[in-house]
Amino acid sequence: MERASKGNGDPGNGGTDRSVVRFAQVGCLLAALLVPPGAAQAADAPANSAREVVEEALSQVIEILNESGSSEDSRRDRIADIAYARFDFDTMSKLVIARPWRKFTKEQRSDFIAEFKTHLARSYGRRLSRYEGVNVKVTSEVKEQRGDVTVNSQVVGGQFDGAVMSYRMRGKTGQWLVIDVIIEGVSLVSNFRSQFKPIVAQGGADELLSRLKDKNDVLRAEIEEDESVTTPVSDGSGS
Amino acid sequence: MRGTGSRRRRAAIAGSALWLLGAGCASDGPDPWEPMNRGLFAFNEAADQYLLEPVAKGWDFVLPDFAQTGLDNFFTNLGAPVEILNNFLQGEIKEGYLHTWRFLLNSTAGVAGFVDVASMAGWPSYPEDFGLTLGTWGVPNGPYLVLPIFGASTVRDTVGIGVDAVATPYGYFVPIYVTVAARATDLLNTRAIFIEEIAQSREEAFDFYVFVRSAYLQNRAARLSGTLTGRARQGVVTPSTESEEDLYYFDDFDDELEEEEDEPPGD
Repeated sequence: MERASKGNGDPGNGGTDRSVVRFAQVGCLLAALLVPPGAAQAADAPANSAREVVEEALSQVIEILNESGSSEDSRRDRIADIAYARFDFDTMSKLVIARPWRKFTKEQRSDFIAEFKTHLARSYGRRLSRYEGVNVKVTSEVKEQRGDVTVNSQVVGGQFDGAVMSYRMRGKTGQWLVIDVIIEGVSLVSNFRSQFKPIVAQGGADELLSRLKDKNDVLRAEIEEDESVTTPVSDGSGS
Repeated sequence: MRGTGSRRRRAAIAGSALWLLGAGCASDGPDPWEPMNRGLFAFNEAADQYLLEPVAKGWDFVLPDFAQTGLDNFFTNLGAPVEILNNFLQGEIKEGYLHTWRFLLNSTAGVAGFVDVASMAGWPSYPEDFGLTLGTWGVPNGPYLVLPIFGASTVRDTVGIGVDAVATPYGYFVPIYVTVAARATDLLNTRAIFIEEIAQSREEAFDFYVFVRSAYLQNRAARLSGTLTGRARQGVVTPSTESEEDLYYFDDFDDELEEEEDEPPGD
């Protein structure tokens, strides 16, 4: 519990570093976890509560994370599938861009949704070994004023022990989908929004899209590099 | 050079920060000092990349993980008395009481704090500081402020750092260089623990300055409101950077979207 909860234990040094890092690190992990809501199975079971959806997805992701033997590549893909099934990327994209979304053309919107999805998968799917020994327990479920539900969870064990992660869920067409992940109080949507806002304000949608694509290319290269270091012979990764 | 002298200086710094707080209230937006802050941020980044990070890498290479964790526990435990004081100042009597026992347990059974026995026993600790105490008293953040070396802060939290430093008991008993060395070690060790995460965040961010600012302000707001610890504080207004309404709802806007498909041409 200690490492995760002691953000500012020492007011002097490293305190601020730590809360931000925590977001970043937990971010990663949570991203992996965050990635989790839902999954194929959950889809079969109708009328799952938001909490059940998260619990089920988390347990699937954790099982994959703690699996030894299969390549990181294959694990990442399977986790991504789980995430894709339970994240509402359309809504997330809209919330991240906020007002300027109106000015995006139809094509720019779909481009953004696709690239943003790729970005989340690449940035959060890196170095899964970090999440070794991690478990996550759902701690509570909070009904928000206008129908959303926030499912709170906490990491148990591993490097990010004690970190608090919440999933903001919105009911859509009979199922709960994740529209935001909040790690240690830091909303992913809000964080991206604050970074994207000035880019859109200055260069418009096209500038944002090209920055996003560039970043995704860089990340892909990084992942390949990580891979070549960690798994000397990766089974059929690459393309 | 002695403890008292530097302490006075620190108090003076806290005092001027308080003055800034007053000045800050009048300004608008969460980051009215952005140009200055960006300059300081760049300085910190350079200091980190050329000095701290390389040394932390060596540290990380030499020191096994369990030793890093032990040191980290030790410094956290060392900071406990000030945190306990803040528990009480915030009116959280029960928390302060539990925190005290936690400190005693870790200081003894935990071998001077190197082993976090309390956490192992499922007894979590929640960090506190005087910035949060001021927050519970209703003092607003004031402008976002990047401090040299210390990094992300706000005017209020800067005052908090000063007060916590003055309130730290050890400083009065050991020479200043011991305090400085301890702080430096703590910083280095913490930095070593997070080497990969920081490198990755830097690389992924579209604007690392904004990334850090957003994360810092949101994390502090969440801690202040108590949402992270599951014990919501009464009467504390979350000074979130955005209202929930702004962040999550675009209902009216959604309806328009359907019809607005072919919008005014994008730029």
